[in-house]
Amino acid sequence: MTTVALDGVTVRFGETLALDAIEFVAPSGELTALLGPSGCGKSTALRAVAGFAPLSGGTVRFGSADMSGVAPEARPSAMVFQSYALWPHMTVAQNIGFGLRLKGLPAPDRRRQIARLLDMVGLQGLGDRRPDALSGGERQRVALARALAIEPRLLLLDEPMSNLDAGLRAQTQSEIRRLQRSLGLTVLLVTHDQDEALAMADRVVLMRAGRVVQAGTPEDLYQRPGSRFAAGFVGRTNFLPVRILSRDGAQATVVLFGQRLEAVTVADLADGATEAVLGVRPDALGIAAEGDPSLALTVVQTSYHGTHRTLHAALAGHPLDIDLAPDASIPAAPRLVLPDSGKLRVYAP
Amino acid sequence: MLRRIGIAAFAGLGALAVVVATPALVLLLYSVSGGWQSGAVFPAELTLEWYAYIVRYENALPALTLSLRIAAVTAFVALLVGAPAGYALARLPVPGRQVIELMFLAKTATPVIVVGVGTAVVFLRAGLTDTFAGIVAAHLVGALPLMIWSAASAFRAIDPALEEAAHDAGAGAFRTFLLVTLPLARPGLTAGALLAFIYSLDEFAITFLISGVEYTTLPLRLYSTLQQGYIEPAAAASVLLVAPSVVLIALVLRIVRLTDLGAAQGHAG
Repeated sequence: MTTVALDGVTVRFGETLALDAIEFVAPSGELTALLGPSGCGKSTALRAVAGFAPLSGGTVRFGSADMSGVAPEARPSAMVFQSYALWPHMTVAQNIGFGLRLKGLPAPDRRRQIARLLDMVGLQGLGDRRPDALSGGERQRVALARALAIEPRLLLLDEPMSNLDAGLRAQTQSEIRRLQRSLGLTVLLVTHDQDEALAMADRVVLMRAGRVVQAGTPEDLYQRPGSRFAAGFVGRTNFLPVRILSRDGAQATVVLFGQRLEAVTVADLADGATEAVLGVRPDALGIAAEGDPSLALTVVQTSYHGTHRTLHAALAGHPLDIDLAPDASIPAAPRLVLPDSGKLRVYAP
Repeated sequence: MLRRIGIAAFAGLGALAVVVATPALVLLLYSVSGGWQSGAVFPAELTLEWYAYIVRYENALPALTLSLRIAAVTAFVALLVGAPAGYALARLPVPGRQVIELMFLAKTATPVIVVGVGTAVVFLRAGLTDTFAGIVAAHLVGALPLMIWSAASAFRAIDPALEEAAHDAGAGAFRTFLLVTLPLARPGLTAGALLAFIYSLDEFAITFLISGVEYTTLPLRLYSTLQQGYIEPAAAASVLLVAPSVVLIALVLRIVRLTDLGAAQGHAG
């Protein structure tokens, strides 16, 4: 298997800068997710790895080999397209066996391989069907089998779950994960769904506007977002305005609606800035029946989510979500309870 | 409300069908009529003698053979030239692509007599009048745009991801074209070639101006039948002219969906 490394990769489409000197590493044998909102360049990054997006600068390496100028057909990577891109004039077996046929594998060997692959993705006996006679989930599996057929060193998945309904999506996520682990594949997955990225990936590369914003393990990204964007995009975060009283490197003392909070982590703030926002996850907050009047909440509504109940409230006019136990009762005049300062992070506004 | 619109549309289409079909039906009846009293709905007697007459005395069969040969060569050359041209228009950054596509339209907007006289003058100087190659060349002027339009829309309709997937599986440009692009474009290419064939088979005006002595196509031959002024042989000649086109258009309809043909016809004018 192989480690993929992008270094200073720049892709231009006419005047548009789709990728602005991005760099990241997808370690060998791991699943790396490229996460970001639409238009952030994550699909272009994947296409740059596959060889479909011409680079205006930078290098793409597979292991120690520079792939930057190598044609897609000569790269040891295989892609599952978002539309699946199954050839409608070929049967399922012909689709899967296409790459093997190009390699000149004799027909009996090819048939054996195709049967093994159909088995692997749970499509036994469907080899003679045409793609248009398959369901969306089945097509997705054919696309996966076709990609795996050429025994790629690197598997590229472009939003592979976006055309599946919710139940099938969860099942497919765990199947892809199982295949990736059992085959020891290096996988690069493009997704706009942060749940999917956190659930599936060993590493997440968060992108925005053609740049890498943050890269790390799912825990890194969720627990220690490095910017207001990361905190808002990965999981949910409440942002409240704070004033900086004093700062000591990565820690600061801030004032939130008259409350003095010590030893708050500074995630992203210029030296000398006095205005900032405090980011805190809904599940880190609590409520109490009594407490400081400056933290009095106005209840807007509640919503039930099975595992928790979310209280949608306002603190001095600022909207605030608080995740409570599903059976929690809400007092008449609730007060906000802040967590340890370890769960509070300060960002540039 | 919807029901009323449906009924109105149905009635409208029905009226249109009657308007279009009535002359054709009358011609068809005349061509097999052995005597048709004025005021009668149908001819009293049916006969094939008018067909026999134009075959025997008007030399229709050699003319038909020549027309079919010219149409086949025209369609073949159109396919050979038009398919790559259509691919280039659909996929490659051809400079002035819109200007080229506009010129196809300009060609159909130009009165056929202008094109015909221009062609005749050029052919006269080039020594191409009344030759097989000359007729094919003249027919290609009209047939090639049809072929190129069909080919371009067929290639354009192919999702580029299907070609990328072939590259990704290890196919170079040639094998991708041969194994993926070409099979997917084949219905559109076949339809384009058939349209070129039909165009050539039916072409009259330009052919009339550049040939007619050595090489007389079926439309030219039957034109003289029409000029004799007898309704029945003229009707038989018309049916003979239209029949191959009707069969071929039915074939095209089977190959491409109606919507695709709509686009191709729109450009063909």
